[in-house]
Parts: sequence; structure tokens; C-alpha cells
Amino acid sequence: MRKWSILFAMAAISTVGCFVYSYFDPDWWLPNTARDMHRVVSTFGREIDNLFLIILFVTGGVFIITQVVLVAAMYRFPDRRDEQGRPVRKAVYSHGSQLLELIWTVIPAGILVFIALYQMGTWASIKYRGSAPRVPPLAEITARQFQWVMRYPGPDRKLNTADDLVVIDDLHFVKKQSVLIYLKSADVLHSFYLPQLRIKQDAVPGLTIPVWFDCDEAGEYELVCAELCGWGHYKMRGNVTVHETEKDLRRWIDEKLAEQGRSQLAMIPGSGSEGGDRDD
Amino acid sequence: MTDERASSGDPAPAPAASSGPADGLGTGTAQAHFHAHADAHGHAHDEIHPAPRFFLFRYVFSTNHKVIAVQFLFSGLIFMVLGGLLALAVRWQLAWPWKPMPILSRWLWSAPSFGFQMPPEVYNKLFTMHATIMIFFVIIPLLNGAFGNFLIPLMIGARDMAFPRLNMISYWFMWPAFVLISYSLFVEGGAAEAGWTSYPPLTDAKWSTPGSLNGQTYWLMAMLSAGLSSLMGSINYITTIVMLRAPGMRLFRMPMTVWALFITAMLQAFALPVLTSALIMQLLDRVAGTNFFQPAGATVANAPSIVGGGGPLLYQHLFWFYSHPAVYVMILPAMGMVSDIIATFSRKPLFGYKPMVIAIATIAGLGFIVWGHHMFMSGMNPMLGATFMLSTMMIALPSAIKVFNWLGTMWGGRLQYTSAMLNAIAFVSMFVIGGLSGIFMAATPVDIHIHDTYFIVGHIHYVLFGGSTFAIFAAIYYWFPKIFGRMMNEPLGKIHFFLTFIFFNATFFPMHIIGMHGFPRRIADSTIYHYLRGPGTQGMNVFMTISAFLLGAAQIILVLNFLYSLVLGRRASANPWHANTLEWTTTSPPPHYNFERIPTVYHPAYEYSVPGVDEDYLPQTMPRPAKAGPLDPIMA
Amino acid sequence: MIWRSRLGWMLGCSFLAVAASGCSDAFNAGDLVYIEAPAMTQDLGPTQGNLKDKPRLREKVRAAMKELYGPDPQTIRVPKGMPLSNGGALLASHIEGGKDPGPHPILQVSATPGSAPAPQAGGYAIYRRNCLHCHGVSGAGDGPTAPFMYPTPRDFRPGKFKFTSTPSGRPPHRDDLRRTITYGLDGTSMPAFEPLLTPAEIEEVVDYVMFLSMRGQTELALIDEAATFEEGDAGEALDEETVQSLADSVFKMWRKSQSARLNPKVARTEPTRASILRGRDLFLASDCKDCHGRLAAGDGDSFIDQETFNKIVFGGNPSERARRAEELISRDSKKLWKDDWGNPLRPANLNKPMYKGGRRPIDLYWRIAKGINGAQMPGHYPSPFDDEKTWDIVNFVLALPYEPTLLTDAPQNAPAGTAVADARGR
Repeated sequence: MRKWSILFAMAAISTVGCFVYSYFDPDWWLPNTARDMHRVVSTFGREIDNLFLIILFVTGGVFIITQVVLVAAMYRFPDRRDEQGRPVRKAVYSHGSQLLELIWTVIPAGILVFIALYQMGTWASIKYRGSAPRVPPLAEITARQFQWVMRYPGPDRKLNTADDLVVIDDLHFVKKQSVLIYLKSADVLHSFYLPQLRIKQDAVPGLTIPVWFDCDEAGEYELVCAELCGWGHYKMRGNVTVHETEKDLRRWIDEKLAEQGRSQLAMIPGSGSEGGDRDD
Repeated sequence: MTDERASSGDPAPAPAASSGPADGLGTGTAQAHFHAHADAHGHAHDEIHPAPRFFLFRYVFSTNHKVIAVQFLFSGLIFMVLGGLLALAVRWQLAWPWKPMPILSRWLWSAPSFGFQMPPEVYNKLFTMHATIMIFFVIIPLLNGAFGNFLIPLMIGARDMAFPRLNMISYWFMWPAFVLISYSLFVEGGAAEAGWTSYPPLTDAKWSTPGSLNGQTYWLMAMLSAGLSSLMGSINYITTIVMLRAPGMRLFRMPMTVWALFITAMLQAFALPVLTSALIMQLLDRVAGTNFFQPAGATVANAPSIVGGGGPLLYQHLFWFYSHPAVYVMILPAMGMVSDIIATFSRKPLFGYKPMVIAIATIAGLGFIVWGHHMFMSGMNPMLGATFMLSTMMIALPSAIKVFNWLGTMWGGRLQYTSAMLNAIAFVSMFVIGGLSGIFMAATPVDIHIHDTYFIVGHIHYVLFGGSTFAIFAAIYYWFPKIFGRMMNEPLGKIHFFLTFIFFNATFFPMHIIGMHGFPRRIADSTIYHYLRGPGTQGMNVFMTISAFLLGAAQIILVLNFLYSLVLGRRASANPWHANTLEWTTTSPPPHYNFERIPTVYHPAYEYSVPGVDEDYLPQTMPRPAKAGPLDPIMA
Repeated sequence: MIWRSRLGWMLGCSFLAVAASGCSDAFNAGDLVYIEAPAMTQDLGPTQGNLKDKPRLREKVRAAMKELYGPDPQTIRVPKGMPLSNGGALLASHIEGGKDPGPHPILQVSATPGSAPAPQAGGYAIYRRNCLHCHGVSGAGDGPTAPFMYPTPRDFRPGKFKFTSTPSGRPPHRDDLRRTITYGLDGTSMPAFEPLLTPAEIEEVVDYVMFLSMRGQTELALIDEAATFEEGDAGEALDEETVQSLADSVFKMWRKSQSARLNPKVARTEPTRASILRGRDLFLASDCKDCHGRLAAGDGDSFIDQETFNKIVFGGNPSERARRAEELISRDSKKLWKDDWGNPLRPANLNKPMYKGGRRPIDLYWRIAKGINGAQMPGHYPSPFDDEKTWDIVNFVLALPYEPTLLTDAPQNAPAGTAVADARGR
């Protein structure tokens, strides 16, 4: 009968094994850059990952303890009978232990309060309005079914004027700079989720929510919609590009602005061949 | 568990325990009439009506709590099959996006322009309906409707519920819900597809997605009807437990199951009105042109923009004010039943009975002030988030205490690995995972990363499948003899458990991993995201899907076992598990009026292996021997 | 232990079934078919020939279509001379006879839907994955999701596209389709595919859309041609040469479009105050206001009023739109409200910076100068607007959303003071 404890032991071992192995697999571990699966690229990312790991170790420890006790109990105390079918031993007659109850109330309570209080600072720095960086907003991002409309200030450095750059699903910013965006929604709930940067915030119609983050490695990242927003929810992806320098970003904005202001087919070199002859 | 011991060595003097069912029924009826006349103006709970003879009133529109319980049981199990099949369709799409499903695709999308392919909105309908059905039509009705109805009167020594007709109505109020939800699949635009949480404006704005066109209205009406059913049930349970306990059944002598159901009923009674009002407000938004939840100026799906100013977040507050307690509605009865089953099969008193009761009450109390943890990312004031984080962390504490107490109960016991016990142990083991993964979400900064990812999906399935569903399996194996008077097949039960346990873990544990990797929930096709395209992530999806199919296949064994045992199972004795609670002192199945004579209760339900008693159990109807000493007043 | 072995057998089978179906698509992909043009079986009025009572001619058309484009969407044939990149090699992942089609007149491509990894999937597979649920298997704009969206997904088969850079009524330039797919259409349900597909994949999809479009046009041409014959003369109708020449004329139109983009002869006028005000005056003086309204809120007199429009389009189930339209629009109403595809239409509200055909000045120039194909927006070039006037209007339209007082305070609008307040809200 005690063989059943093996099943529970196997389940516990494989679940722990799953997490241990995940550390070595870039497809399983917390999402990071393609080059280095353990390099976290944002300030908040490092804080969140540390907290994640702390909780993972605490809960992992508790999990292992409880499973060991469970499996040990299952292994040690099965109902065994002698030849006459009588139990070999009697079960312990006990209604509990005040000391034990006290121990396993106070210790977990302490751990939980510690975890809760320990997180407060990080939470405050990521979400409290007062922690927002004092920088001009990079963009105003309006989510709509099923895309992110991104509005960058134009040459006048002001949002919501005629010279704004409007692009779809394309977020660009510079590395190692605090980035502030204003998040809005035009229709239903969406959620602005940068998995590699560990940022998530719902976009709520009627509200303008400031979101700030940074990234210390240039490269390509992804923007995901994390709140169900209708039939096309799954395809609401955005490209995120982090530039090395401010100059690179300006160059990109200028290029896009030039394209947005295009009034002739052959304005940009290289596209001249397709324009031209008009036939009427 | 041997049969000889049950029939020969039974110390219980209650005649029902040693006499056969037919015998009990005969004498019982005579006595029932006698009681009915003698006490016509006396104690209400001694009054007995004879069982109705007419088929329609005996089995269909029955006021008998046992019949109603079986009605809930069967409708719940049938919907569980349906909900499970929907989940398999969801898994199919996740593992092989847009690949036609065998048979189903040919059947559903064979129109020449559809190309046999599941449209994305159908994927959304699938997971919406899966969750709705599993939560509102399976878990809650099975735990509260089926086992609550069956066990409360039997365990407290009552003849029936306090309000039998209300009880009947509460079951029949489920039917409009069943019909409306099924009908909504066939209306234009199809069933609701905004998730089981049904957040506006996606649900308010009819053109936002096909399912919001008509299906959402039916969904809302179905939920209203199901909610009313639960509300009536909960009032009935509270009254019954307060008013109809047998002599000597003090509150702290009630079995954990009854305690859990009692507290659950109070949760339902206090929280459901809030959900009901939220649903009515949303319904009014949809059909009467009100504007509770739609902000001014939003333009959904190129339709004319919305006038008037409502708040989308208001709905979330109202919804979670009910639906977080609803999570406990789905787990507390399971905890109660598992406590009883573990104590019985450990042949040992429940470790820390009173702390367990207090823990349940604490969970219920705290359950009302933690709803905000579903809304950390919602745009709610982040300072509120900090408060909700603290209360949410605290609610993990009573859950932890319960787990330690179950382990304490098993330690030093004489564990009998019946199918029921194995499922109950699986509940403990899996609930630990579900509970611990909850701590990640309670921590607000970590929640930023894992909110709305598969980590949450894994968590909820460890609580609701690993927790509630394993408890339901355990309860079916445990009380089947009492409900139907026949034993279930043990070897089949163990094979079912073995496969279910393995494939359950294989299906749901990897969800934590891909959730940690940032896999968002409710997306029909993950392969458009580069970071989810890797063979590890997509391979895991395929692995989970195959496991899910095997998990589904393993349930065929349960169905076969259930149906086989229903007809051909070995006849059950009154007390096949040698348990203490009152339902085992009457025949299996119990007669119409449950107890021939209302039993008298002498002690709490967990007096197993009492020193000085020959048998290793002592029914609640038997006084404790003097030499066993007084009970620990704090623990028992 | 019979039941145990049976159990093992059952579980084993279910496992194999799942695994097998996961690996191979042939297991359960059904037989896909193209939807025929409605003119094949229905009388759609005098402008379009039909084969309603001519079954033998119908068979002829079907046979010709099969010969030209392949029997079903999974077996694609690319007729000789079809203007697709790489001779149609981007349509599918696998080409019979290797990558190089050689000198054969007909290239045959067999398509395996969805199974190949994304970069090599080919236009058909990408279309199936991303486009089919709105645009349908045949590109008729009738996928399962299509009824629930407004504006309605495009039917590619008549070869008519709204937002083009080619002269009015012509097939689009390849770049028009590319832009539509890449950036989506703002204000419609067409999403931007830039973040979902690589540029190479977008080229593949463009090819497939062009293929479906030319196929549909050929079908219509064949029906038109066949309709000129009597049923009794079916034997002589549509010989191989005629079929090829009809298809060639379709291809020629497309090929011609590829070098016929409209380029403004005069550079854009700087968006000065004067230019914007000139544009406003032109707007109010011309027929623009008849559709777009005096305040450019999309509520002009030529169109049915917005309330009725909303009742028809959004006032209930999409399947009952026609009934609602019948109830709400009187028979003798001369008001406009439909496009060439028969879908309800509303003039743009120019107070919102939302431009379906693109927000670049050149896009707006095209919209104004050559109109919107199939919609009620006519071309205005060279008359009444020459290049300078067109640019003035473009400048005005681009400025309006940020300066709503342009119209509300216009001297021409002075008496309509009451309408001013609610135009801003719309």
C-alpha cells in the first residue's frame, strides 16, 4: 500500500525539477534577451525578478517540507494487518497540539508579512504616480481593437498637435533612459505588457494612465496585449525597438515623419522607379 | 476495508446500522406516521411526510434533499463532461494553432468560405464557456448543490432541509441557466466570448466582438438565474444548520463538511447580491441603454461613440467582490469534505478540529477584503493595491494552517489507501501547489509580470482541479455507497486516480513554467510572438495538450465505474468505511425521512481509535467511555 | 484482466490519434473549394451577364477555371503571364518540379496549409492563418468573422480596391496592397500586419491576394463571355484561345497598373494659414459639404442621416440589415448609402484624425483627386480641382482635427450656429 507514496513523491520531484530545469532553458525561464537568457534588461525587471526568486525559494522550501512530510506520512503509516486481518498497530489518539498550531501560525505569518512589506518599495516605484520620472512623455499610446496607435510628439515636442508622428504598433526609445508614456484606450480594456521589461498596465477607456520603464540594452523586444479585448486579441502585437543613442531615435522619428509627410511618389530615393508615368 | 467487520463488530446500537435497508424502511414508515401524528403540534423537525408515490413528485419535482442532491450531481457531472470537451478544444488550438480539429472542424466550419478552421472568436467562446460551465454549473453546484444538499441534513441529524420547497426551486432555477447557456450557442454571433469575468466595455458594446452581439445577454440572464439558485440554496443551508441540528449536535460537534458548507452558505448569501446587481447593471447597459460601465467618448468597433459616462472599473470591483469569495465557495466545501475523508481513513481524530474551523471562518472573513488583488493591473489606484496585497498575504495563512493540520492528521494514523483517501491526499498535495503559487500573485510587483499569463491559469487549475475536483472525486468515491446504496469498484477507482493524478500534473504544471516565461492567457495563437515561438514553449504546449487529452480519456474510467457501480455494484452496508458521522448510522441509501429516530449526539465527529474502545471508531451517537478522559477543550 | 488490456488499447489509440493528427494536416484538412461568383447561378441585373439557366455553359466556365487556376485552393495553378513575383512561386511552400518552374506554360503549386514553419509558408498558408477568418477561402470577404464587423471585409474577386494610387477604376498597384497589409486601415477592422509578418511574408500574401483577385476577375469575364452564347451553342463557347485571351486581358490590366501610379504634377503647397483657409473655402464652396457636411462631421445632405445609418448598420443583428434598411429608407429616397459591393457606407468625419486610406498628404491627394474606387467619393482631378486646389484641400483636411473652429467659425457657416456645438462632439 505504501507504494502510493512513490506517486506523490514523483509528482513533487518532477514539479521541483521542472523549475530547476527551467533555469537552463531560454524558452522556459523568465523572458529575457535572445543572447543571454539570464540578463535582465530593465531596472524594474531586476527588482521583480529578485522578488520572484525570493518567493520561489520561500514557497519552494515550504513546498518541499510539506511534500516530504506528506510522503513520509504516507510511507510510514499505512494500514498494515497481521494474518488474522487485525491492524498491526493502533493509530495515535491525538486531537492536536497547541504548540504546533502556534508554531505553524506564527512562522508563516511572519514570512508572509515579511514578503508583503518587502515588496512595497518596488510596487511604489513602479506604480505610484509620485514615482513617475520627471521627463517629457515619449509617446501617447492609444490601444484600440486590435492595435496600438502610438503618437510621438513632432518637432514642436508637444503631443496632440498636427505635426505628431503617428505610427501603428511600433514603440521606439533609447536605452538607459527613463521612458514615460501615456496609456489610453479608444474602445475596450487592453493591457500594455512588455514581457522582457516586466511591465504591465491595463489601458482603460476614459483614463489616461502614465507608465514608465527603462531598458539598458538596445535591441528588439515585444509588446503584448494581456487583457482580453475581443476576437483579435491574440494578434495585438507591437514591435519594440530600443536604440543605442538619442540620435538613432531622432533619425528614426525623422525618417517616419518624412514618410508621413510624403507628398510625391519619388521623394524618397530608391522608390523613384515605381512612380512617374501617369497614363491619362 | 473488509465487509465482515462492518456487519459483525459494529458497536452502534442504532438499529438502522445493523438492519437492512428494506427492514429499516418498513418500520420507519410506521414510526414516521406515528411521529407525524403524535408531534403534529410539537417539534417541527420530528414531523415526517410519507415519501411521494407519484413518479413526477418522487424523482423530478421532489422536495427530498437526497433526490435534489442527486439531480444536482447528475446535471453537474453532465456539464463537467461538456466543459471538459470545451477545454480539449481550447488545448487543440493552443498546441496546433488553426489546424482543423478532427471531426468537429468538418462539422462546424465546413461552409466553403470557412475552410474548416476555428475562427479566433470561437476560440474565445470556448474558453469563456469552459470557465463559465466549470465554475457555475459544475464546481459550485456539485460541491454545494449536490454534496451540500445530501450531507447537511444527514450529518446534522435532520429529516430534511428547513425549506424543502425552496430547495426544490433552487434546483429548478438552474434549468433556465442551462437552457439559456445552451441556447446562446445558436444565436447570431454565438455564445458570450468575453471571458468568464465578462469585463465591460467588451461586454457592454454589442459590436465589440461577435459574442457580445447577443450571446452576452443570454450569458447574463443565465448567470442571474444560477445566482438566484445559489442564493436560495444558501439561505436554506444556513437555516437548516442553525435550526435543525439533532439533540447534542452543538456547533463544535459538527463535522468539518457541515462547518465548511455553513460558512460557504454565508459567503454566498452576503456576496451574491453584489454580483446579482452587477449582472443586472450590465444587462441594463445592454438592453435598456443605461451607461453604468461605459465611459463617454469610447468608440467600439467603428460604431457610433458612446454618450454618457460610466466606469469600466466599477464592474470589476462589483464582480470581484462576489467572485473572490466565490473562489472560496469553490474550495471551502472541498476542504471540509477532505477533512472528513482524511480523518476517516487515517483512523485518527482530525488534528486541530477547532483551529480548522476557525481557519475556515478566517478565510471567509478575509475573503471579503481581498477582491482587489484581481485588479492590481487594472488602473485602480496603486495605493489600494498595497493594501490588498497585505490582506491577500494574510489569507494564505489560514490555508497554510489547514494544510499543516491535514498533515498532522495523517501523521501517526493508520492510512487506508482507498480511492477516496487517495483523491483526498491528492487534494492536499495539489492544494499546496495552488496555494503557494497564489503567493506569487499576491505580491504586487511579481504580479506585474505574471498577471494574465498562464501562471494564473496554472494556479486556478491547481486550486479548482487539483483542489475542488479531486475533492469531488474523493467525495464521490466516499459517499457513493450512501447515496446509491452500492459500492464503487475500488481497482477501477485506483486506476482512475493514478492516471488522473499523473495527467493532471502533466497538463497543468507546465502552465506555471510558460506563465513564468510570459505566455499570456486567452490568446488563440501564440506563435505570432517571437519569444513564445521557441521549441521549448511551443513544445510544452503540445505536451500539455496531449496530457489534457489523456486526462480527459482517463475520466472515461470514472464514468464507466460510476455507471457500472450504479447498476451492478456490490450492495453497501450502512457504514462501509467505519466512519463516525451521523449519515453512516442510517441505512445506505437512507430512507425518505433519513433517520428513524432523531439521533442524539455525544461528541465531535472525529473520535477514531479512542483508547478503551474495541473498535477503532466511535459514532457520534455513542457516548465516549469514561476512561478515555475528557476532550481537549481547545483543539477538539 | 481483460478490461485492463482493453483500457491500455483505448488509451494507446487515443494517444496515437492525438499525436498523429498533430503531425499531419492531411489527417483532417477538408476539401477546400472556391466559391463561385454569384452571377453563375443568379440574375444580378443587366450590368452583369449571368448563366442562370445555362447549365452547360456553367460547366464550361468551371472547366476553364479549373484548367487556368487549379481545381481547388490547395492545388494552385498559375497561368502563364500572371503578373506575380517569381512567377507565382511565393504562393505556396512547395512547387511541383522544384523551385524553377522551367518552360512549362502552367506552373503547378501544391499548397500544404499551415504546416510549414512561418518563413517558408507561402502566401496561401499565411493567408489561411491570418486572413481567412474575415476574407474567406476564396477572398470573397465572407469568412466566419466577417458579418460582425463594419466596414465589411473586402471581396477581392471583382478586382476592385478602395485605396489605390492608380487611376480611378484600375486594379491597385502592388505597393497599395502592401501598404494596406503592412499598416492596416485605420478606422476599420483591418489590422496592421507589420508586427505579425516579415516583409517577405507580406510579399507572399500580396501575391496571394492578387492571385485571388485576378482569378475572380477572370471568372467574371468568362461568365460575361459565356452569357453571350445561347445554351444550345455551348459547344462553341469558350474555346481555349478565348479563355486565354480573357485571362490575358485581366493580367494586362494589372500589369499596366504597376506602372501607372498617379503622381501629383505640382509639389505640395506649404500648409500655410492662407492655404488652409483657401482649402476651407473650397470645401464649403464645392460639393464636399454635400456628403461630409458643413462641419465635415460626415453628415451631409446627400447621404442618409447618421441616425438612420446607425440604426441600419449597428441597430441589431447583421443578418437583418437588409430588412432594417428596407424599413427605414423610403423607396423613392435619392440619398446615397451604399458602395459598389452593396455594403452600407458613411462619409468620413473629417474632424477626427482617422484616415482609412493613409494619413500622408499623398494619400489624401489620391483620395481627393481620383476618389475612392467603388465608394461614393468621386475623383475631383483635374476638374473641379487642379493640383493647387487639391493641395489646399489636403492642407485643410490635415489641419481640421486640431482646429475645429476652422469650420464652426467659418463665415459661410455663421447662420448654422446651433449645429456648431454638437458637431464637435461627433
